[in-house]
Amino acid sequence: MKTTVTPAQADQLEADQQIIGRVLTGHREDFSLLIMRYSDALYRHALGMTGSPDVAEDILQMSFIKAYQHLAEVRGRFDAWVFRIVANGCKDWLKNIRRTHLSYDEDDQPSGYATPEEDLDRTELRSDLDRALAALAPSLREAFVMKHVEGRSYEEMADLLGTTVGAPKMRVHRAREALQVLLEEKYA
Amino acid sequence: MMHDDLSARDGRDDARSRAPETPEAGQERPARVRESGKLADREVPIELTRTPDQIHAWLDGELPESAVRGAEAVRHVEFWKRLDRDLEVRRHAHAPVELTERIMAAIPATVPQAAAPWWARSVELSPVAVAAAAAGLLTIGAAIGATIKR
Repeated sequence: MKTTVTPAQADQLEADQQIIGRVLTGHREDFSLLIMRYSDALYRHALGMTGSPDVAEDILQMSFIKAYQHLAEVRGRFDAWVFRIVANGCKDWLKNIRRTHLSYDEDDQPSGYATPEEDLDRTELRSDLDRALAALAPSLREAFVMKHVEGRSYEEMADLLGTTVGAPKMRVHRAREALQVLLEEKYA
Repeated sequence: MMHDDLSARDGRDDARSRAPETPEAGQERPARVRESGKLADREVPIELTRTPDQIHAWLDGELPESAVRGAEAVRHVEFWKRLDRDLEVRRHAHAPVELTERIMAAIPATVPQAAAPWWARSVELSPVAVAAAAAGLLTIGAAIGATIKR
């Protein structure tokens, strides 16, 4: 598959490779630079996939430990490589877990609304959206989260998922339609 | 505007495979079995609705909102704008500040090494194992020799 690397990505790739080189020559503490650089985006992915801040943190921690252990094997983009580790961690968790209830920790999320009524609305919507996302097949949920939470382009999604551009686009469309079925009676 | 081939199987997964076919545009949607305000909390078969292409294009940033026309389309726009209020909060979620420290404390103290390919790995054998292997090879060789002589 043809992958287009932008100048910004090329700079980032080079910077990551330099950090990896330093870590592999014994500067273990430099690995924290890679964690800080990518943890927010990866956390958003894990949170969107699992719906649980605690699980998202655990998946990130396990993924970065795995990434460190196999750092010498990185070929190409570190961000794409570590994304795949996290994405697989999320899918494994979804396969194994039988969830009874999941929602965002209320205290973790800042309120962006002016009135208590709006805040209450937001809490209910968040909870309903969490349940609706949990009802989607993992590949649809993954595509929706990558597009609407992480704000990735279809090209970027295809690059990270190793598919053609049409595949994530179709999954996002399917996810939207499914979410609308689940939520529109209450929110349309 | 480019339209997706929504009849392709990719990405439909379990939910789609268990769901009845999506009605064609213009057909009446079948009644949905839903309890008011109650949503499933795990993966369930989901009957898909038909979101107009212009709504997907708007959500994908290919069309401005002003280009979305029709009462039905406007209803979709309102729905997605409402959902986007929550998605906006999710877009600004950050990993906990102490996470980096926790990960650094958990990673091994040793420098990561590349795993050597199997042909480059050293093999340690005890003298007993070497003798047993040699005896085994001799036996196999003798057996093959005897078979050939016959």
